[in-house]
Amino acid sequence: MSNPFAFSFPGGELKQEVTSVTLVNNTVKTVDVPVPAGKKWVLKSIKTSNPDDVARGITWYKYKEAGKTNLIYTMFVQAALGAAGVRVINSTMVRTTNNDYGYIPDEDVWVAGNTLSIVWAAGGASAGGTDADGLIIEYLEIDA
Amino acid sequence: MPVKESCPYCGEMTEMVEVIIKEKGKVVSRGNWISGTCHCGKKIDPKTLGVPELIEDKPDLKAPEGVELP
Repeated sequence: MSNPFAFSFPGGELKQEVTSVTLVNNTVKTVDVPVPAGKKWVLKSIKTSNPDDVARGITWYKYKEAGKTNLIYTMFVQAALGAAGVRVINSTMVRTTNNDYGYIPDEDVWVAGNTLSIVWAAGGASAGGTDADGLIIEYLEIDA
Repeated sequence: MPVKESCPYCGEMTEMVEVIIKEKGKVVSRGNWISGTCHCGKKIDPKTLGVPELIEDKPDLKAPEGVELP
């Protein structure tokens, strides 16, 4: 019997990447997520947290290559994400709370080599902190 | 291409480690990235990363030159 509720993803396979984020006292942190060779992505959402006990400025960049030579554009800038704060950027709706805001256009296709680079600025003297799921990316992946 | 993070010891980018869970030889979970050991030799372990002790400078209790004391 066919399943009338089966879902198909003609636009690719939905994937979720979970990355641990460790922030150290008053030290800049960078995490780079490259699109693998032979793949294309359509970003659906990005969840980023600040596990430190002080506010941290966060910036999201899209680079053309893993070496980050060519900046395609700066995606978003968060001036100061509060301690233990979380920011969600997604392509389904624009949220209204302070740290849940941002929109990714559906036509924003990422090709092999493109790199999502996220930078947590130094936040001054702090205890630092770790979040095992401090960065979560959801995307549709197809073969290039 | 693996996810990379900056090393708090040397400041350079280093590869993170992907956690792959297998059951009966079949991959059931992947896409989880954790900190590993940087090429500088230091392990980026949240449990061992020390936080420098904040020590306040001792105030100078001596009056500056030229100040008349009662």
